[in-house]
Amino acid sequence: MAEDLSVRDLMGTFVEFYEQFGITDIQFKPHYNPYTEPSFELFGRHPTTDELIEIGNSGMFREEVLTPLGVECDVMAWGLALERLAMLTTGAEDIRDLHGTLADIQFLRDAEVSY
Amino acid sequence: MPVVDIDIEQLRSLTGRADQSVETFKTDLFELGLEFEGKTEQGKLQFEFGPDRLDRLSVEGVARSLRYHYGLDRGVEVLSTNDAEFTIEVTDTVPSDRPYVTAAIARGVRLDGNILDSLIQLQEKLHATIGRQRAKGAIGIHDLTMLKGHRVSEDATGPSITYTGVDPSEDRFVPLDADRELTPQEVLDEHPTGRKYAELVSEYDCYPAIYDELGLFSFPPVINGRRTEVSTNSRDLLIELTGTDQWTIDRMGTILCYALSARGASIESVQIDYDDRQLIRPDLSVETKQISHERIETVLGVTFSSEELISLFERAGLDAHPADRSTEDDINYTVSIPPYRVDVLHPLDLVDDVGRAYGFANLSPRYPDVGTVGSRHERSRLEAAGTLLTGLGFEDLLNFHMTNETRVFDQMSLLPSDDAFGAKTPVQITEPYSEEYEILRPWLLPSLITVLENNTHRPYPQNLAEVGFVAHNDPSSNTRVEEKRHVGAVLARHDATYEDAKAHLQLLCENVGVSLRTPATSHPSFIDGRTAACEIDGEQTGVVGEIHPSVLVEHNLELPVVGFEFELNSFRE
Repeated sequence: MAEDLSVRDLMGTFVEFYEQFGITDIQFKPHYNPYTEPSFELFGRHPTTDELIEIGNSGMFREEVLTPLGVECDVMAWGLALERLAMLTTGAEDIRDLHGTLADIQFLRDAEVSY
Repeated sequence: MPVVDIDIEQLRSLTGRADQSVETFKTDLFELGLEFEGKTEQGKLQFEFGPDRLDRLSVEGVARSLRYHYGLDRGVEVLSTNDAEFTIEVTDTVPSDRPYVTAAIARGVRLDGNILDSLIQLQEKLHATIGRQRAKGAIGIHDLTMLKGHRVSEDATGPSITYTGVDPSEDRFVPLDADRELTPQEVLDEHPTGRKYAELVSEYDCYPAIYDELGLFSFPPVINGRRTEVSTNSRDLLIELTGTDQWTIDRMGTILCYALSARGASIESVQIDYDDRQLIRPDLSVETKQISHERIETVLGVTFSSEELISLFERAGLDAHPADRSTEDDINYTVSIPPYRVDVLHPLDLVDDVGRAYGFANLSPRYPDVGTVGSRHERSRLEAAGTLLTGLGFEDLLNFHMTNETRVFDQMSLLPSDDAFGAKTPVQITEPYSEEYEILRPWLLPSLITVLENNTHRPYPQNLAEVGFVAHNDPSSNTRVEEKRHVGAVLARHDATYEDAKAHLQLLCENVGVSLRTPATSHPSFIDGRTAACEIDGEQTGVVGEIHPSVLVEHNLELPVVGFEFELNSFRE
């Protein structure tokens, strides 16, 4: 939340964030969310399958959302999927190995800790 | 989210790019917000997109967006219509919940070569989205040449049909996919489509019906009659829509008219005669919004000249004109919005269109130049529990919040009514999708033990921990649901004992800086005499001990498991 934030700031935040994990080819797809405008889905390329996968959703909060809360400046918002990020950094292909009761302990043991 | 099926040859033909590769189309559509999902069995390309641009539910609409993107079309296109000849008369017997009707006539359309399929797809997708499975708006498309309208009165200029209410068992017609006459009631009882949509009308005393001079030919929102069935040979169509509000059906109708127009149809208006007013439809009125030049620049973070902006608006299928009250420093634009757009609620929505026309991919990301002073939040103190557990050698787990009663109670030898940690009335999911996920978990250990059960082929020891949400019913809370975060951990090893669990718990508490006492207790999931309550800073908020063999057998675990679970709030200062 700050004065005069633009979608370029939003995009820059993710470029910086993912770069910390060695991911440098984030793509932005314009998207629709009822509560943000403009909105973007974030995509990254899977290191093993080479598929473009969605890794998060983001946007600039709409005025209609902020005004009732008394917020007068711009607010960037996002939700990034932890397991998708893990897929990009570890090459995992099945999110059930990562979380949920089917998680594979061996995978969790072998995956390098990165942050 | 909506998915549109695209025949690539039709897309090439409608965009006039006969040689363009599929890959280029995919890239260009990604920029517009349509994501390639895969192919249908018939080889059509499937694209998923946000549910705002319903005009893109057909290949015609997607092609229109691309034509604007490529600069082949510019600005707002308002369909030209011929004057209304047909009238729809609305009687007062129409069900009062469903009084609205709109219509258009499309002449000279060619429906061969898969175009009819495309039209049917658009109709079904509009039903599935804005039409709310026909509850809010239902479309009927008829072969106009099979209709015979009667003249309402001497001075009426053309034929007329009637939207009216009919007694469920009074009249008969042959519906689509049937070979004999049925009453509307029989359609609901016997016809597969009738059964599917019966609940939309079954409460009404009189069912909605559309009549021409020859009789009943449509039973909206359920089914059309066979007499007016559209085939690939049909050239002139009547499109009628009925529903629960005028705006919704007007927008659905307009989207259909634009798609048909892209296929060469000329659109003719229809006059709707309500009891108290007359409407000329389709509704092709152009709305306008005001937006300032500066607002666009600050949202996108790009500086534009006025000419550039106006050109970008045109490339987005809009028209912008500097408004009268603009000054040199403060330019406002009046932007016209074509009638097929259902998504423009606020001037801000236009900025997104400018961004897409400019190409968000062409914006250079920048890290926000915002300086703030941070401090440690109470939450981050609590987050430390997870980090500490990882440091103590536990695998950090993230399990689902939804589970089932068998797992959290039966397999743990626990009853919801027991006076024991974790025994709570669980929050039930109404109409769960799967028997596996029918409640929210009231405690964590069942999830952790299930992970052990699914990993018996992996080397031991297995130490697992989770800091996660739990919930239970609480009539005294204002949401009737109490949500908490718990810390849970299990150790599975051939010689695991109560002391191992307690040692880890003790280390965790010491590192967080809280005091721990473990007075003996009993718990159905644990072995009596090897179980204690977690008393953290004087408050009993959890349990620690050796898991009962009956629980281990339920989970096919063949070695001892010990563990603990308590409320994360115990770590609050």
